[in-house]
This record gives sequence, structure tokens and C-alpha cells, in this order.
Amino acid sequence: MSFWRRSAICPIVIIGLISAGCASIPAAERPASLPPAKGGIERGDLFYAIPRTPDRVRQAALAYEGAAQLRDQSYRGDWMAARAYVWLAQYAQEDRAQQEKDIASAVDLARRAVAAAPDRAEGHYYLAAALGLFSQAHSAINHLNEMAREGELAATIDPTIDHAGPYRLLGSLYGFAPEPPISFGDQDKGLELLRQAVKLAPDEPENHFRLAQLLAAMGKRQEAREQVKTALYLDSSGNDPTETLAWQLEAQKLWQTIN
Amino acid sequence: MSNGTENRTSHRTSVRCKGTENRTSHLTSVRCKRRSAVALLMLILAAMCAGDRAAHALDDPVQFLIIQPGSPGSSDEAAPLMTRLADYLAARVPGRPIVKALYVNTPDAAERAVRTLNPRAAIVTLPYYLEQRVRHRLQAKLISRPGGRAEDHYHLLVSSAGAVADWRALHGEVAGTLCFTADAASRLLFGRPASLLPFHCQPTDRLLRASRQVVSGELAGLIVTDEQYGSLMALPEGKSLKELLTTGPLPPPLVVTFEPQDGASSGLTKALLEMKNDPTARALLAELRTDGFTPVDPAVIEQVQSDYARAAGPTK
Repeated sequence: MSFWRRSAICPIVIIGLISAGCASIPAAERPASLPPAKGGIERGDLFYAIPRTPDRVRQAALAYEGAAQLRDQSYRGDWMAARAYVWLAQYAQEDRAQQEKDIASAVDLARRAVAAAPDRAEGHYYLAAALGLFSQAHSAINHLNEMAREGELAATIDPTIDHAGPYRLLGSLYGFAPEPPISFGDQDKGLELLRQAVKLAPDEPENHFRLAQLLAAMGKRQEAREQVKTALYLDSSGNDPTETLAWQLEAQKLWQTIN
Repeated sequence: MSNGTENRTSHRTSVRCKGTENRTSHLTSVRCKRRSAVALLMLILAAMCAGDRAAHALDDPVQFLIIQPGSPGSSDEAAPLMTRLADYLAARVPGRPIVKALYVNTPDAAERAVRTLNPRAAIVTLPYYLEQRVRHRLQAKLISRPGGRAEDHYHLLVSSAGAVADWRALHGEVAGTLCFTADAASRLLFGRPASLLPFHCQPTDRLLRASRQVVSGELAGLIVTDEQYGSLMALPEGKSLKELLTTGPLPPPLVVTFEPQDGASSGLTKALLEMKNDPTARALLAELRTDGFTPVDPAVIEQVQSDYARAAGPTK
């Protein structure tokens, strides 16, 4: 299951929005029908291998989409392609228009995965992640409820995927979403979920870092410092360097603010 | 003595020039002509600079602010929404100037924005308006109608398990988003400035967490607006809270303009006023969490300003 090793979801720190911002997810602009491709999953895995680059991940997405045209691989192809688009939207640093297309593709493919296998966790998880990215890009919170619902479904079905990814994602969502009356943010609940993520996957550095972020936001600086130290101390060499660098830069900033 | 010297010097200079006009010394004449030319050049330059400033002022973007101390998020996070709002307003302000909108949610950030950006209009909370009205010469023009409501109330909530029946018996910390503008909130709710309260008004943008801290006894109480009150009472935490004090009706957030009043400030106000009748503005209004804007009732504003002033406490 090497594809789970850092599969691109750094939990989205959901913006604290001033508004009940609403925005619609545009239709995904992808080729209507890619040719069915046997071996597409394997090809996609090769392109998605660490270290990832935007060009290679885009190739991976296309390979997975091709595989998804085959009935017996549709679920895997769809969620893996969704995962690739989530990565691209987060790390490729493309222009805004391309990022929006990638987010829309991720949402579309993840929805297809959920429809194909509602009892599997990956589709729900990447749908939640894609909705989070959309919310962040648009300062809109009208998809946060769906994001939470999908994240919770993923956590219920299999909280271990992506190194406790569902807990990490939900923890950051509840921890940083605006509280009522604007949204459903709840720092205590977020803290509990991030602690669960750390407990379930203590070797995943990012779990510690996300916990540290929330602890810092809650004014628990001492514990936040300990979690940042743990995150930076843990071995990240098996993770994708782009993803690692992204959170480690955040961690350095956080470290400066809590010391 | 010194005056005399200045006068003499001035006289001498004057005599020299006048003398030049009468004398035939070519050299002196050239000097005076040069001096006149320099003076003329400086006048022209000054005029050009003034013209430049005027042109620059016309080209400057019209700045609109949303000042909501204690509201969540950051200016960066709100930037996409602010861009949408600015674009909407720009298309409706006469002359179609460039409009920029900025969201700030702390008094310090608001102060920086007002001082540096030369804003023409803003949506502000009532306490911010009351605290800054005189200093920044704010003119209340419209009220925002969140949820269609034309009025607001502030509430003091405490633990329902506690025995406190009078706010004067509270000690420690009382929290709320309203505590970001503690003095005005205190004057409106308690009739006295924050410095004369028996407790500290602690700013927080985390009301849910604060409500749990009230129930657990970590906080003495919570100050909330109508909207916050409604949402808290709908949650399980609300069952453990009771209301100890509430204000009379207060204006909701206001649209204000800054001095000097100009076409831009009135254009912005008019565009906001007309949003409620514009079907294309519905999504934007929803994002701003209001049903629209209506003119202020001057009598209501005067009353609340008077109440605020009266609650200033004993003067030294």
C-alpha cells in the first residue's frame, strides 16, 4: 500500500470566514471520456511515486482516469485521480484558473468514487479534501457541512487511511472553522480529533504539526511547542518532499510565533 | 531688535531690485531677471505639482472598509469576498472608479486602515462607531439588516448553575467578541465604561469555547449579540446558560462615511442602499450575511450616542 505514504492531504486549515460565503463548484473541465486503459492504475502509481512533481502528478491523474473507464477499476481509478487533482490543487502552484479546474476535477471524480462505492472510505475522504480546497479558494463556507459529513463518513469507515487522514482533516476543520453562528467550528472537538490522529498514527509528523497548530490557536503554547518539536524530529524521509516542505515551512513560522 | 534686522534686510533686497530697474548695470539686471525667472519657475512647478496631486487623487482607488472587531478570519482570507464586493460597488459608483474593499477584525488593524487608506465609507459595528465617531468624524448613513432584523440587543449570559443574580456581583473575566470594543459594549450594556466594571471584559472570537468555560466556571460570563445569543441557545451548551442582563434595542452594524463627504462616499452609500432591490446582489448580500441596507433613523442614532456619552462615568 505504498500509495498511502503521504498521499497529499495536508488537512486544510479552514479559513475563518467573515461571511456565509457561497460559491458553486463549476463543472469539471476534463476530457469527457478518456480511452479505457488497462494497467492505468500501475502507470498512475509510477507517475505518482515520490518525489512528486506537477507534471508527473498530472500524468498520474490522466492514467488513473483512464483506468477508471474500466468497470472493475472505476472506484480505484476515480479516487486515485481525485487524490492526484487534490495534490495538484494544493502544491502545483499553477495559476488560479488551473487550480480551480483541478479542484473541480477532484470534486467530480471523488463524487463518482463515492457513488460507485459508498461503503469505502477513500472516496469520502478525498471528496472532503476537495471540498475543503474549494472552500479555501473561494472564502466560501457553503460546502463545509458536506465536507464535514464526508470526512466523518471516511473516519467511520476507515480512520487509518492516509495516516489517520480523516481525523487530521476533521480536526483541522472543526478546530479552525468559524464557530456558530457563522459555521460549526468547535476547537474542543477539533482538539479531540487531532489527538485521535496522533494516537492512531504517531509516526506521521504532520499529525503532530496540525495538533500543534490548533494548540497554539487555543493558547496552549507549551504543548504546541512539544508537538512542533515532535513533528520536526520524526523521520519525514519517506514522504513527498514537496508536501513535507510545505508543512515544515508552516511549522517554522508557528515555532517563531509560540516562542 | 531682530524684527528690525529682518525689516532692514527685506528693505535692502527690495531696494536692490528696484534699483536695478532704474540702473543700467547689465550684470545686476541679469541677476534680478534670473531671480524672477527662478521665482516664476517655482510657481509653475508648484502649480504643476498641485495639478499632479489632484490628478493622483482622482486616480486613487476608492477605499471601502468592513470593520468588524471580533469577527473570525483575516483580511487575506476575506480578500476574495472583498474583491467581489469592490467589483460590485465599482460598477455602481458614478465615474466607475477603482474600488478596493478591505475586511479588518481588530481595532488595531482598523486604526491602521483608517489612518493609511483614506477610506470613503465602511460597514462598522455599533460599538466601533461609538468609540471612533468623533475621532474619525464618522457619519452614520445606513444600517445593515442581518437576518432582516432592524435592531440588535446585547446580552450578558452566565452559568445557570451559578447563584449570581446581579451582574455587579460578577468577578474575574467576562468574554465576548464585543469585548474587542469593550468600552462601548460596557457603556451600552452596563451603563458605565469598562474601566469601572467589577470584572475584566476579555475579547474572544471563540464563543462556543467561551460558553463552555462559563459553564465550567473558568469565565464569569459571556457578552453576546442577538445573533450570537440565538445560535448559542440552539446548542446543548445553551441549556446551561442563563441571561442576566440585556440591553434595549440597539442599531445593528452601520454603514458610515468619512470626512470629507464626497461623490465617492455618497456613491458607495447609494450603491449599498440599492443592493436589496438588485437581484444580482443577492448572493453578495448573503455572503455579507445581511438582507440589505436601509437608511438610519437619526433619532435612534442620536439616542444611542447620547446614552453612550451619558455612560462615560464620573469626570475628573
